[in-house]
Amino acid sequence: MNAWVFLIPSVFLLLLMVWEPLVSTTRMSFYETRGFDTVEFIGLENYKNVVTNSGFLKTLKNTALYVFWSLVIGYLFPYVVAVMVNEMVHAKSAFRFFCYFPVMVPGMAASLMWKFLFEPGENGILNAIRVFLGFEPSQWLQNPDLVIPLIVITMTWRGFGGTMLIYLASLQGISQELYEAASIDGAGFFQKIRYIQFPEMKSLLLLMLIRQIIGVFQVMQEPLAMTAGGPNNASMTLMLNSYNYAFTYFQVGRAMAVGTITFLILVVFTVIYQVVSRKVEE
Amino acid sequence: MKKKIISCLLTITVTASLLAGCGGETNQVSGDKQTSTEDKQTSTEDKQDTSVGEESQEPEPVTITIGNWPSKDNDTYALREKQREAFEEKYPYITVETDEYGYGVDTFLAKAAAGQLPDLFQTFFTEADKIITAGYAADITEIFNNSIFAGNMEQDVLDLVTKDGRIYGVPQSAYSMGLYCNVNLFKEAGLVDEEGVPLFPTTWDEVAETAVAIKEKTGKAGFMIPVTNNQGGWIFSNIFWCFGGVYETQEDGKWVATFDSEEGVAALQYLKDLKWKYNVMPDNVIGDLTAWTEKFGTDQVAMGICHQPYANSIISLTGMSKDSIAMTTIPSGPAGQMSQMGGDIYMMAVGTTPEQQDACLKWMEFSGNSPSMDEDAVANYEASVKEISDMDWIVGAGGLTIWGDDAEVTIKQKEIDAKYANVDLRLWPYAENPGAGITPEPPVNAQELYAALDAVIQEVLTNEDADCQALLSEAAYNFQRDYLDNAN
Repeated sequence: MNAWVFLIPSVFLLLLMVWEPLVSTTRMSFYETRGFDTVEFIGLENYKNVVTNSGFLKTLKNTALYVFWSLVIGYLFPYVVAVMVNEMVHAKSAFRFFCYFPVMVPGMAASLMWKFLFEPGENGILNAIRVFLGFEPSQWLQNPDLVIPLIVITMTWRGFGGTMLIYLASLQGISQELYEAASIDGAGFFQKIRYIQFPEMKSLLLLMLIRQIIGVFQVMQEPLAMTAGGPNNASMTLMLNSYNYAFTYFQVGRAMAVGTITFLILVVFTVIYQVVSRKVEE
Repeated sequence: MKKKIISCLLTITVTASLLAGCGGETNQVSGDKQTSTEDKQTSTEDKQDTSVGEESQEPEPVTITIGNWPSKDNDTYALREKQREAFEEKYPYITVETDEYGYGVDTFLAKAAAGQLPDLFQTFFTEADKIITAGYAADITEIFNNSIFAGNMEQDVLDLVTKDGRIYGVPQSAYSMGLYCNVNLFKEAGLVDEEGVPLFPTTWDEVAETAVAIKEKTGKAGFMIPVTNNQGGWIFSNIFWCFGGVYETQEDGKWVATFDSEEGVAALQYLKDLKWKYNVMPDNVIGDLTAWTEKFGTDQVAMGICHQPYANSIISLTGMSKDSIAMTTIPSGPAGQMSQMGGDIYMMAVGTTPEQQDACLKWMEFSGNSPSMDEDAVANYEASVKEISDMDWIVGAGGLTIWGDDAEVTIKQKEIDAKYANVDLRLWPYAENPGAGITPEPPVNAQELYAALDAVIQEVLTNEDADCQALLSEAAYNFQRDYLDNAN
């Protein structure tokens, strides 16, 4: 009985802080809204309106592309860095700090700094380097094919330090005895990774995978600051779309509908994660 | 056992405090709402009472919060504080509280939903409709109709704040758009007469020629247009209309998107040519008005379209000298000269009492934003103009009026402006005819239309092979399907 009583505060907090906003946003998505007030129940009208909008499919595809590129560019990178830092003998903590440093840069400032670096034309900083090396200047963020991978690079730059620290903590938790035993059996560096580190890290890697998918799927701030979704909506994302519905057009119901659709997609990912994670553990 | 009892008690305390916290808040909110409704009822009754014997009764004390107040480090802070003191002296029953909040697309909705808006806030013509539709502006019809503002305002301006016959705001000022020219770059390119006055382009073809000359002689961009945050469509409209384009027409009572016409395509092609044929735009074309301002104010871009009151924002944001800014009316295109109309509006927060609304109108009158120009208003208007002039910002460059050219207020304000005028009017051909070709915004879903145009403009400015006709046709088709069909 006593144990149940102790649960009450956390259940209460969970209901109030997590479920209440979730439920009320979902509820709002079924209503016609005036500002943040609900006016009339309109069923799936907001969803219909949002999904049939000519820009929706492109936005959904873009968001998936962000996730794709973030996995290609940013998924293994923090892991590799963590392994390197773990193997370092000197200046380990300094290196750790330098990797974590970008996390401390405010997101907006980081986006603006990258935008500055990606200035097209010959006078842009990165283009000056390209020109010096004998290449044509790039259009960077103005190139619809490049804009998403470039934004993902800036997100990776800013975010990998935190993930790296989590990997590093886990790597340091692996018993040294296992490595020693493997060394005695004649295992090399890569074999140690393959047979000791990887099995130990497997569930964490999976967790970070799902976290990254969920995180990147909600990307908004970077495209908002760097391209406002352009050129020609090439970097528009679901959350930026939702932001525009709410703040540019004051259509809160539709903004919530986009939010709920995003939430449902992420629920699917989370269920997949649960299933896979159980299999991995078995 | 004792431990168990203590832990149980602790848990109950924590839970109870949480419950109390939340419950309290809920009560508070509903309590507030109730109070404000009661307030409203009481004040409506009060109003009825006072209307009988207004002069005989001492008004109840009232407090109002005024937005857009300058911050303490702002040059105009002292002046405004002085005005506030004088106002409170004149109306001892009114207490003025100040709020630095200024309208922002990203902040307004949250502020409004939380009930945190100042009682009197400012916004723009373009935003009025959605604020009214969202229910965040107080209905001030009665108080407005009984005030000095009624009957003194141009009807088309008043229409901007009217919905279903009810009035939700008071237009404060109106503007038209024109062509800004950077005097330094014109001089550097030799595009000035013997007196150093820029040779202003008067047609869009001349704009292109001038831009080319500037690019050749200075290496700087000749022309730039903002293309994000719906500003692309907003500013492009000026060119679009000059080329004869029409965004939306009503056929048999139904709205039809018509901006993919031959004229519309020609206007878009013109913009595309500026980028790819004449190569007079900056390398980085994806930016908003701030990006243009930075470039214009630092002599990186020679021309751009914007509204007249923005001149002082350019000075404030970039430190540009007022003598380096020149402005002419919108150049003519094949269909003539058309210029986007806009302006500022005062609105009052929902929940303000009629007494507060009345006090807000009194404040507007006192600060020189009404058709009446009594001694106080004249003094306050003059003080603000003098302040602007002392800061070496632009005074006397003309502009539109919402009260009509013959109104007393217009004449008085013009007199004061002339007294402190500090611009070389040769740099401001705009001032001679600010109302040239003035055109209101598209009537249906203007913001969504601008967003669609933003995307199209971004495409033609970043893709040399973009097909203007195909892009506009697709945009018109989608705009029709996404918005106009719903509006019909």
